[in-house]
Formats: sequence, structure tokens, C-alpha cells
Amino acid sequence: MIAEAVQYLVAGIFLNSALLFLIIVAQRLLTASHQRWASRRRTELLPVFARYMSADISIEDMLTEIGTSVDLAEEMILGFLRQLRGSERSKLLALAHRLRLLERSIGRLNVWDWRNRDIAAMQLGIYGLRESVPELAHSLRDKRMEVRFTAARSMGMIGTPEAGSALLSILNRPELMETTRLVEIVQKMGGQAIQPLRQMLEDPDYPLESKLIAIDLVGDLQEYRLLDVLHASLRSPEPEVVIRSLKAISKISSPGSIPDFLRLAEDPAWEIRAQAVKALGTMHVDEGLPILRRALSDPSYWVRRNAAQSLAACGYSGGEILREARLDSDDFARDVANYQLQRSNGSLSRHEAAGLPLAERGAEPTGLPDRSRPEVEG
Amino acid sequence: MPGFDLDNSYAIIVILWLSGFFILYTVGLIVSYIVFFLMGIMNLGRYRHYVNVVDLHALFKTSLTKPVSILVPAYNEERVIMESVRSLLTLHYPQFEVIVVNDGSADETMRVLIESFELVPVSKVYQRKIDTEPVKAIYESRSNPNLVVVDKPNGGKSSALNVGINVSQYPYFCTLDADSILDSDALLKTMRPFIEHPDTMIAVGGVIRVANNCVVDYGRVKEVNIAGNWLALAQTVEYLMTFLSSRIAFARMGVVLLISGAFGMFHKESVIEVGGYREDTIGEDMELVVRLNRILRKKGRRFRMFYNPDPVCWTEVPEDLKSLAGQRRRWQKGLVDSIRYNGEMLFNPRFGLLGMFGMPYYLIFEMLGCVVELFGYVMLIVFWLAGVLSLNWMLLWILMSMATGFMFTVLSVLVEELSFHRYRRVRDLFMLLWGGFLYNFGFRQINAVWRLQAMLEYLGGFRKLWGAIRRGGFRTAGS
Repeated sequence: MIAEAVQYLVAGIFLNSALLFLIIVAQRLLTASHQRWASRRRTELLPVFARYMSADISIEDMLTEIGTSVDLAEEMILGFLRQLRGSERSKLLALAHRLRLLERSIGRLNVWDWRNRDIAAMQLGIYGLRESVPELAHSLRDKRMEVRFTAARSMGMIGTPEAGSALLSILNRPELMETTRLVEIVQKMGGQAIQPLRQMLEDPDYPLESKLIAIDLVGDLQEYRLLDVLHASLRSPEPEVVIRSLKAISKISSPGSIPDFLRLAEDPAWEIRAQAVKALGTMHVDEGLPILRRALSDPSYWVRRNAAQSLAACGYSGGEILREARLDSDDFARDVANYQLQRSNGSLSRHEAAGLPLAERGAEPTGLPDRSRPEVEG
Repeated sequence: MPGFDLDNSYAIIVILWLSGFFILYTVGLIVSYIVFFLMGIMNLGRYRHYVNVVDLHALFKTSLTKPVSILVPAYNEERVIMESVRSLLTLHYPQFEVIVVNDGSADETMRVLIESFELVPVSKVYQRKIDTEPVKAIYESRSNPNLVVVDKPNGGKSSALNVGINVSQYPYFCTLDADSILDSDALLKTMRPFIEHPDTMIAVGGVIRVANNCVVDYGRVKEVNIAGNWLALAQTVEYLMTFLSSRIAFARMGVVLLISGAFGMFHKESVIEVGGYREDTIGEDMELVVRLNRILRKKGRRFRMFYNPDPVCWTEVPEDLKSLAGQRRRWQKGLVDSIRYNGEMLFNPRFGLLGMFGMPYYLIFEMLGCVVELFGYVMLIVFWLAGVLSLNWMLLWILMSMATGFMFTVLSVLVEELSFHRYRRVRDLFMLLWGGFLYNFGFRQINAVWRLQAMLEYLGGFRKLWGAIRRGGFRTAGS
């Protein structure tokens, strides 16, 4: 009895395997047959698309030709839209509208299967229509990270200010999206990101973290149209906002910012002074030289170091000041000037530096202690 | 029929115990395989989606795609090294370097490299972050600036890899065997999990496929063919079973205990933190992953490991019994080493699923599997000789064991068919079916013997390091 059952079991397992194998073969044959059909149909539709694009046939004729092959038409339209720019897109988008493809994609953004939501988000990006921004913005909070990222990329492709606003609204939500990835997407939007960035920076209620990233973004985009907002940020009571704004402005290199740099080079906070003297170095202007000279004797090591670097970047006149500073009565100024001249491969060799009275204490006077209060790397 | 006196209650108790043990073991194994396959099939859609939808161009462009050092330890690889390095140099990846570490090859590996890639010795300074052997010379290529070749005295694969890590300059490294060929976008696909979890992802493994009989052109697999040799064919099915079911299932459970040394990517600092590859083991790949799990968990670090079955690495598997036996014995010894060195994880709830399921699974079903399987066959014969079991019953049990094995191989072909679909011809499916038959009716049993032999050698203190595998070289487009 048991032996019989086991025999049946073994036979059943073998039969099951055979059946499974038959299913695999059948599936393979069906797939191959579908692929052949799709390829043939694509070949038929390709010249029809060409005629439609060159206005030889109307949209109604095009719809008749497509018939029930809507999925294939969708695939082809998306393929063309990926490659086309300008007015040709509008013809294809009109066709997509008539085939109700956009509604289909938008509807798929809410389906249960995340892969379909992901594909829908990607398709909406390729269509590039601003109508889909609200739905995509909703997908930025999808429970699947893949869908959120695809939605963000699609919004970047759509590139309208509304899309930019939606993207920037999750800047302070790293749990929704990795900040670096989001920043990359916004960077690609270029000028389209200006308006939402302005709104964000001017809004006093925006979270500080997001504002800081936004300021960095303005600097990365080198967007001079936002200089006024950055200048306003230089008066912020938050030292970090001032420092980031200084960095961003120095990337844009605006001569109009020099008075602000000069003012901030004498700020009571050493972190701000350090950044301001660094920013002065990027401008290569003579107005900053006296302040940079004074900064060589600053109580903070980082201010002194940045000032020396900025002087070195200011060409001959800056180099002259550094050489003069080697003979300064102030220890700090002398040491940092010596060090900078060595590093910038200037007129002073290591041996010469070592021969100077105060440099004898150590070859590389790095990291001297602050006279007043402790520092962290700025 | 020969008979024994069974009027002995001890004998009956022993027979009952043994029967109970084998039934329990077999049921456990079958259930775990069913669960693995179900999980594999359930996750297929996800991987398929990645294959079809993930925008590799975007991955290529993002600054989160970090530069990678590809480490290729080479020992007597003169026949395949040129093709392999050439393939690596043409990978589709924004920034990478290839570091070939010649581990004191006795053949012409070094000469082939020097001549093929115009190598010149350089006095490169590097930091010995992992304490390992000194190197003889470092070469850079005049024709390929991102190729570095390190020549060192023979010291084993682990020491070659540690030297590679020391010489490497990028934050991630990828280990590859010298006889392996990567798909051109495999590195990008492997980097994807690191991009998604930049702060926590420390290791990602990819899938290894059999390259025997595939056509290789300009360092790329151009035409995927099923191997003609029966051993290679059985291994093709075996690799499919391993990489498309159990690895996926384990990874889904967050239990990644093995990333094959033939293809894996690691966060360099994390590996340095745990001391790099252990040089007194031959299972360095598994040992490293298990140790990463053990040490980082003990430190309370948040980290992830991932297995990604999409990026493919093609490798030439042994086609002769001698090479295959050597390889399998090394693998078994490596497995024993890994479990032995990280034994504190076993049944330790502190390590979560890793300790309570992953490690015990590897111990019971992977390490001791060969012992139980062979012991099972022997016991069936003994029971038959003792008259406990009739011939019919004995054959039935053996047949059932093979039938279930066969069903799982067919299932793995199904998983492959529904997911990555690499074998394009209908004929290939029949070949895979034949491979499944060979795997279950011959290969598995021989493999179990080799593994048992390895266990006995291990217990006897014989732990050989590198072993030579006879290679035929890749089949090129014109051949």
C-alpha cells in the first residue's frame, strides 16, 4: 500500500517535471510567436508613422491604421518621443492624447503593482507634459523608492517651475529620496529651477536644512539671477546660511559682492571670516588686499590660512604682501606667510624658511592654536 | 538475499532512528528548496523590471556612481588572461581601474601581460592598509592607463586580493577571477544597490554563468551556447539552481553569507575595517562575507548586503574530472573554514536570521549535505542487505531522491526562462533538461564523494591552497 503510494509519488514528481518543462517550451514558443507578430506589425506601422509625421495622412487615418495595436503604438510613440525634440513631438503627443495613452499612464500611477507604477512614471516623463506634474508629485511620496526616483527624474525631464517646486519640496526628506540624487535632477533642470529656488529661499518658514541645500544648488547652477537672494541671505542671523551663501556667491564670481565679502571678513564669527577671506581670493581684486593682510594675524588659524591662500591667488601684489609678512612682528602672520610661500612653490625654499628666526621652531607651522577660542574645521 | 539477525531490539532502534533522521532531513531539504524557488519566482518580476526598465545611462551619469577598482588575482592563467583583461578594459563604466595581481604564476602569465598591454615597471607608492606580503614589482600599461599589474611571489588568492586592495585607489572594489568575462554593463548594474543605499550598502554579489562553448568576441560573450561537455552541462544547471533560487531567497531574507569570489563588489573601507581577506583559508570569499556580517553586527553598524542576479559574469568551468574534483574539494574546505572561523554565529540569536537560520542552513545542508547524502545511499544498501528493505523499495527511494532533484532543476530552468532568458534556442531548453538529468543522475553523487573526501582531508589537516584548473580558453568568434 505504502510502496504503491511512493511509486505514485515518484511517478507524479517525474510527470510534474515533464509538465513543467512542456509549459516552459510552450511559453518559449508563444513568446517567440508574439515577438514575430510584434516585429511584423512594427514594420507595417513604421511607414504609416512616417506618413503621419510628414502630414500625408490625418490623425483619424493614423488611428485606423493602429487599430487594436494600441500597446505597440504606445511603445513606438514613446520610442520616438525619446529621440525627438521640438514641434515633431507635438504631433506624436496629439496622437497619444487621442489614444488616451496619457490617461492610461496616469491611471497606472495608482495601481497595486509597483513595477507598473514605475513604468507609468517613466512614461509620463517621456511625454513631458505639465498636466502630469500633480500626479507625479504625488508619486514622489510613493511607498517604493524606485517609483519615487523615477517620478523625480520624470519631473526633471518635464522641467517646469511647478515640477521644480515639487522636487524642492522634498529636499529635506532624505527618507523619501537621497538628497544627492535629487540635487542632480534639479541641477539638470537648469534655469527652470530658478523660480522655485527663489520662492524657497525667500520663504522665512522653509526648513533651514532645505534652505542650505538650495543655496548650494544656486552655487552649483552658477545662477546669477539669484544673486539678490544670496546677498539677502548674507544678512541672515544663521551663520551657516551666511557661510553657504558666501560659498555660492564665490562660485558665481560677481564683483558686486565684494563689499559684502569685505564686511564679512571682519565678522565676529571666525567661521564667517574664514569663508569671507576665501571668497575674496576667488575675486582676485586689489580692494581686498589690506583686509587679507590684516587677516594674516587673525586669532583663528583657518582665517589666517585662507587669507594666505587668497593672497597667493591674487598674483604678484598678493605674493608681495606674503613676502613682506615673513618679516612681520606677529608670529602667526610670519608663520602662515612662510608656509604659504613654501606651498605655492614661491620665492622661498624650505631651507630659507627654516633659516628665518621664528620658523626655526618647526618646518611646517600648521594647526597653530587659537588665541581666543577653540575651532572646528570650517 | 543475504540476511541478518534482526531479533535485536538495538538494531531496530538504530534503524528507526536512522530512518527518522533521513526522512526529517530530506523533508527539511525539500521544504527549503520549495521555499527558495517560490521566493525566487516571487522576486523574478522585480529583477526583470530592473533588467528592462533601469536606465543605465542615468546610472552612468550620476555622481553617485563611484569609481571602482577591479581586482583580478591570476595564477597560471596564460591561456585566458589576455582575453579576460581586454574584456575588462572595455567595460561600460565611468571610472575604473583594473588591477591584475599575478600571484607567482609558474607559467607565462606575466610575459603575456607585459607583451599584450605594453607594461612598464613603475615605482608606485601605496599604503599597506591590510598587512600582507610585499610585492615584487608594479607595472602600468602604456596603452591602457587604467591597467595596473602587480607581480608578487606566490602566496594564495587571499594575499593576492589583499595586495590588490592595498594598491587600489578607489572606494569600491570588485573581485573577479582571471577566467571570467563580465557583461559590458555588469559593473554599472552591480553599482546600482550602492547608489540606492550609499551609506549602508557594503557588498553586492552578481550571478555567475557558464561560458563554456559560448562565443567570445573582443572580450565579450557574443553568442550564448549550452556547453557540449557533460560535466560543463551539469554545472550549467547547477549554477542556475544556485544563483536563481537559493541566493535570491537568502538575499530577500537579508541573509547574505556568500558572495562568489568570481564576481562581487565591496565597499573597500568596510573590508579593511575587518582586516581584509583571511590568508590562511581557501574559502576566502565566503569567509570574508561571513566575517563582515559577524564583526559589523557586533559593532552595531547598520549595513546591507545584496545579491543582484542581473549583472552577469561568465566563467569557464572545468570540463575534466580531475580539475573539477580539485575545485569542489577546495570549495568544501573553504566552506568548513568559514563556518569554523565564524562559529560563534551558529545558533546565536544575537546575529538574528544569520545566526539562527543562515549559518545553521550552511552547516546542516551545505557542509554536511554530502555526508548525509552518501550515508543515505550506503544505509539503503545496508538495509537491503540486512533484509530490512526490499530491492524495490531501495530503488524506489533512490529514484525518489533523484526525481525531486530533477524537479528542482526543471524549476530552475523555469526561473531562468521567466526572468533572464539567456538561452535563446528551443534546443537549449532540451539541453538544459538533459543537463538536469545528468546533474541528478551522476554529477551530484560524484560531487558528494569529492566533498566528503575534502572533509576527510580537512580533518586530516591537509588544506591545499590554489589549485590548477585545466582550461581550454574561450571560443572566439572566428573559431
